[in-house]
Amino acid sequence: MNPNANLDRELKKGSTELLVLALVEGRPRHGYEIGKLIEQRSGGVVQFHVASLYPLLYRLEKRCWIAGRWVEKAGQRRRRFYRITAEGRKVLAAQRSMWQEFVAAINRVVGIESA
Amino acid sequence: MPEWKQLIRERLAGMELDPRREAEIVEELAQDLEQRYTESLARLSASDDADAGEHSAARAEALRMALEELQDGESLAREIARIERTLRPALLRDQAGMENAIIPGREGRGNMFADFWQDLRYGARMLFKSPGFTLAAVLSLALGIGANTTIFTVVKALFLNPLPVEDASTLVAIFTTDEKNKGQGFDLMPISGPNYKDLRDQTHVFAGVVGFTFTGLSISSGEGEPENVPAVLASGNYFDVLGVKAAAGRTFLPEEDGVLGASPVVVISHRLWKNRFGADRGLIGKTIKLNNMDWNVIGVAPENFRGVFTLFGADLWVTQSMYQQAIPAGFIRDSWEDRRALVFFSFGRLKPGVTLEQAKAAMQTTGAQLAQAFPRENDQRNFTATMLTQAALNPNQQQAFVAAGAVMMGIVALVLLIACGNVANLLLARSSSREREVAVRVSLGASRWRLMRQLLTESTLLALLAGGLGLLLAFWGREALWAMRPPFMQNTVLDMALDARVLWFTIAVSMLTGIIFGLAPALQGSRPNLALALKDRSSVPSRSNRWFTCAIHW
Repeated sequence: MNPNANLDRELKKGSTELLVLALVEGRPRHGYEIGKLIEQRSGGVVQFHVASLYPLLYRLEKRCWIAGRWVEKAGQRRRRFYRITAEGRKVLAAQRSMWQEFVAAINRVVGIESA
Repeated sequence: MPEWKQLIRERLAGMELDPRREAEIVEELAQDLEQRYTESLARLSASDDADAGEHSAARAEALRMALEELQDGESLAREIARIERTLRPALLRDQAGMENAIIPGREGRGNMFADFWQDLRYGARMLFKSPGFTLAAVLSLALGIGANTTIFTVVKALFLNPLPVEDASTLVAIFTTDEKNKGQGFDLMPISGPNYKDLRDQTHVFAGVVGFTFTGLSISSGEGEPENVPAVLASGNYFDVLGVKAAAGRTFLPEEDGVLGASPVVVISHRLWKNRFGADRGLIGKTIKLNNMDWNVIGVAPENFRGVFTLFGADLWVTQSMYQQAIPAGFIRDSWEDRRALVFFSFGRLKPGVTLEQAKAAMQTTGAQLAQAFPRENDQRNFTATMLTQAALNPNQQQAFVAAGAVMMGIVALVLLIACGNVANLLLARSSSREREVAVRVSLGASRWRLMRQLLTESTLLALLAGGLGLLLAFWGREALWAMRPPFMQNTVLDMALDARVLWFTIAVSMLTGIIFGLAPALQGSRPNLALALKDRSSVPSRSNRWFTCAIHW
């Protein structure tokens, strides 16, 4: 197996929740928008299929880290928007901290070997 | 435009969710696919001069790309169904690198028992992982809980066992009072034979009045060496007034307490019947040797009945008409008809509707009349009554017994509190080694209450283990304690069975113990310093660091 694909899969597995929580932190978003933003802001590195995005959203919703609500805007069909909850904010803060430590730890290792 | 909802329903058949929720999911996915289709179509049909065929191909390709988003529809349907049906987060194995870790969320919503079971299993695992700590804590607590259970067993036997009689609320114990002896620990005294009979005949508030006294009878029949067993000489209505039915055979007939010496009949206790006669039903109607004389066994008392006094149980009951055969020559026999000699105990059953106060008033009227009629014997004497249940222990010393019981319970409670303090210290010392585990859980969203519940469940489990061992210690301890009883209780037989009440007491004490010694560590342990605890302190990744190690594995 391509080692990069393996790494890609493992890294993504550990960061999907962080990605979603971070994107709904600022304002509520619907599922399509979340998937699109992840793809755009990651420069196409991280892409979510519908088959993985929506189960993730429903899982986060069950844990009460995000809350979904149908919103109907004038002249448009209703869409389901997700916003972060208070518990979700705590989790996001903790996961951000862990991710930053992880990245720093990797950088230290990689940096030492390069030297 | 494709019918997205229809297409999605076809591919996600089998979700089997609440129809409203299923409709919402289908609608949401349909909107997403429609938007992707529209964008893909716009990209694929970018050329203005594309012909109809190319447009058709673009539509087909855009549809294919959109539907590809659903990938394996069956798996997706199952995944969504699993998530929707889960009321609490399931065990996640490797997402955070903590195998078998419990990732908390808003657990307990509608599934408290599942959460409690999860906490129990996790707590059991944690205790099993620290056998040294667990053993030390369990032993320490078991001694304290065992001591409490042992003392409770004795207290229960003395104070909490109900009188095995019918409707004890209408049974009263009758006493003689003497103004000359008041306040010297003899406020309530037995009654004399003649006074008992006059009270019985002249007071009309009782459905029946019984007089009885104690003696010892030498039994030589049955298995074992001849022995002196405690016996009661009672009026013929003894069992009838108490409402006690024989376990085998019958109790006294009125005529068996008539002519002196004419009715050598005996009711034996269940204990004696079992121990000396092997519970032989054939014994009824046969004779046994008491005081070298043949007595006809007419019945066996119920298993839990040994008389109305807690400390002085009897194994034999004979009628008063046989007092000359049953009681050896001496004070009691010589005083049988002495109005001044207080050698009888007495109790009566109140007539329906008569209160204790009314009975006392009636008895005092009779007492005053008897004092007038017999000024020498009944000088300054009268009668009174208490509920029979309150006279089961010596009524003049009831308070002393209660105080002694309270002191004993207090002492062992103190011993247990000290043990709780020791175990709490052990837990607090141990909590520092679990700080990282708790910190990771907090960072993943565990509420403080959830963590405290987990820690308290662990401590309660520890205490329940100790309670089980304590019960075992109490099983042996009560025998040891009873062996140290004072001389006047040497012939006392108390029911110190480890029955359901003792078991519930032990469970309650254990759970309270678990909360007492577990609360402080739970309060402290559920509030870790996240920043300090999450820093990787060692060069070797700990179990909690597996999130990182999995991520860099290649």
